[in-house]
Amino acid sequence: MHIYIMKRLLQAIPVIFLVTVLTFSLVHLVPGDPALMRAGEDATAEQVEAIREAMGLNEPIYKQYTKWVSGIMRGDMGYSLQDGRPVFSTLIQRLPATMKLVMASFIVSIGIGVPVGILSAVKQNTFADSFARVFALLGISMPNFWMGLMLMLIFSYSLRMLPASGSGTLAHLIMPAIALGMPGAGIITRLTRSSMLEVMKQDYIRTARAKGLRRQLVIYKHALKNAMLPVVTVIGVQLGSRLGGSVIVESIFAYPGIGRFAYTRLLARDYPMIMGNLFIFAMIFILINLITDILYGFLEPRIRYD
Amino acid sequence: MNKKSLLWMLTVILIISMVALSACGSSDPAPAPESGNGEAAPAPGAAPGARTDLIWGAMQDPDSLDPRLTTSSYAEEVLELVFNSLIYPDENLEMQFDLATGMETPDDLTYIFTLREDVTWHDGEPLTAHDVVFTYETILNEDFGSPHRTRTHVSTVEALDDYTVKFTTETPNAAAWTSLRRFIVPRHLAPAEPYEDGQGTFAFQPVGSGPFKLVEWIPNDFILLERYDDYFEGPAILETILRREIPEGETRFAELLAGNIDFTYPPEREIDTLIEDPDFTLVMSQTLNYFPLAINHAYAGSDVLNDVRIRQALNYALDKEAIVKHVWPTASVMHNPIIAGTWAYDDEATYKYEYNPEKAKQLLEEAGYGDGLTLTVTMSNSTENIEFGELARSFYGDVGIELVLETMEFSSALAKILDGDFQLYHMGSTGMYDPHDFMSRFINGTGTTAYNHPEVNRLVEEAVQIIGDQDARKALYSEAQRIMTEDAYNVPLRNSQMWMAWDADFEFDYNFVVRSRNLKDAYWKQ
Repeated sequence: MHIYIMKRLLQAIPVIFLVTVLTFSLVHLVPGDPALMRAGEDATAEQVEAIREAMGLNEPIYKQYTKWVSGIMRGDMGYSLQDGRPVFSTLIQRLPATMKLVMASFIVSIGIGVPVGILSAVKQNTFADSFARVFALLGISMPNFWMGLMLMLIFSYSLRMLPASGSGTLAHLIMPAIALGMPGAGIITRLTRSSMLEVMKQDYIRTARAKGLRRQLVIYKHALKNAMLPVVTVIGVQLGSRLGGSVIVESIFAYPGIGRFAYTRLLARDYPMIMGNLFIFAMIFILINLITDILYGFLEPRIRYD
Repeated sequence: MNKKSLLWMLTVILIISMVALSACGSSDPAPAPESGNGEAAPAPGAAPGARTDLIWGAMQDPDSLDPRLTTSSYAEEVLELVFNSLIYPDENLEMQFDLATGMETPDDLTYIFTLREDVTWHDGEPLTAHDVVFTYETILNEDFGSPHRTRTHVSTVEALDDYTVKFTTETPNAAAWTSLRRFIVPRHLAPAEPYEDGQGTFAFQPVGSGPFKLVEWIPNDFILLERYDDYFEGPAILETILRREIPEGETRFAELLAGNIDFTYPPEREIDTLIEDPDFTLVMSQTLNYFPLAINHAYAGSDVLNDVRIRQALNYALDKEAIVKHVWPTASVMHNPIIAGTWAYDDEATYKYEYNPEKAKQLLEEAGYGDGLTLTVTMSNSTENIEFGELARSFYGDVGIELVLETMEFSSALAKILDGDFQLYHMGSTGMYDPHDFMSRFINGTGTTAYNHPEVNRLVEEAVQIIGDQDARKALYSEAQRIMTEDAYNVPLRNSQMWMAWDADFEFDYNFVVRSRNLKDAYWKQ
């Protein structure tokens, strides 16, 4: 096990290297640079050039990359070209708010998706099942900006129950978490349903029922655990994308998460901040994948790590 | 590998990440104020019961709060509260003294400012002529990379004593002294090399001399300002200003109606609702922003746009009134680069292209493009731009011009435009305090459109050298406007309006030019 984890972590090094080379070149290849953004709409070419020089963007790209990598090696992610903030501590400061939002959105996704999925599988082809399937379809197909605005219309505008924007209290978290978590709830409902149905047909379930175990116990102890494997995979994948991909929800609710921050800095071409962000995200993705793989072993003892 | 040790490992990973997270959380310099209902305690001495805080719902974050490094209007609306300048334009675009008490011009090349002696920085240090010199020296230094360098028309700056500063220009320049409206930064705190690693915190925790001091700025969240009690004009009435960034227009509108923010820029489609609502005040204000469909006069690979008939056809073919009314209902149509209503604008000299598709067709025919012509417009991909593009496409289609829309994200579009890699573009220009600020963009082929007309070059360059005779300058600008519009230098389109809405109990004098400076005297009636 420890060897497995060590191996996986070592494998991560070339992955991180490739990710940084690719993203560094892409970020610098995209038209527009921080000097242009600083100079503004009616700058002269000569002025943009002077700012570029001052920012150190005139050096060849491989030199800029090696400079950045040697900084990373020393644990120094550099400073923003826009407002001079230190990259690492600025990014780390924003993580807790995003973590809270992502966790809350998973409570919504799993809290709704798993029970509804089970219900739908157990009561297959009944009204409850059809209802659950329509619900899942709706959850998946409603765009989250639209859902966000509808929630706001109902709970902030009409009922005046929840604040429409900001962060800090639980009340601020409810609407963004629902808007971010509902599509996931739909996906998890469908996955839980189909894998539950599959597992319920297995011989060992019939055996468990035959030896006189209560139906409830069979469903929750024997079937559910085995049906959770694909669900865990999806949660792992979604965790990563929700960390960075909640830009729209964060914008609508003016939630100070890392997704919108990364997006605004990308539009401003704040290279050090973008690279720091991508680096941290790459690390998080690798860690999440590792945890997901370890969880597989817990859910499915036939998976071995040697 | 048994289950127990697996579980144990997962627990450890979880605990470690939790600890790491909570450690990050605690490194926050101060807890975020509870957004949404940050009612502050009233100041001792304030009218009983009246609020002394303001929650401002802003559209976007500043890029930097080092005034020498930003031209963003989102930054300026904060800088106006935190910093001061020698002079500033009032709502009639006339310059008023701020840090200066007077200005002498012993000759056409020299400007001597005397400064107030009672001004202190927020850390208590006195503001002197040396700070002014430091500010302008860094702006003028090419290696510093200030976007204000080419917009500041002086060549030297020196302190004659602690409270006297002398500026000189190389040639007489009527636009020179009005360009001395840059915010002054403290020499003992502001960096001289902003992009060197670890140059400190000035760009996000600036120290100024204005009526409010910056307490904290959390990017994409809030900027908290607190009254500076030793402000030289006496303390402001408001005690705190919490400027929250809320990018979505409808969210700002909902929060304003719910009373969670007091003051904001609402979406254009909600203006009528707010005007009718007695609980809110809405003020519209003309801007100094000019949005043309700009023409590249030096497009590599094709000289079709160098034919004046084609440029005129581009002007005749658009029903500008209809387009502007539909896409930007609050804006007004423009006919030349100088904003109507400012002193240098000459309505009579301006040739106005009325909507005339027949004339456009005829001009294209004469130019040899009766069979059609394809042109590309480059612009950012905002909803309004796309709407505008579709309308323009259909108007141009009617006269046989196929307009290709090339829309992209803002910085990419800006890069293409500044590189001269476009035929037509649609993007704004701002900041006309002096007509030279705008007209200089159309001389000698140095502007983004590369417009280069020998007579216009001469007129504009001559006009800026006339000191102290506005009528003589105006006559030259009138002639330049006549030539440029007849020559169809661009397809001028619109001058935008700005509007702000706030709680009707809040007393505030808003206009586009003075902007947030007036928050110093704003107060709650109850």
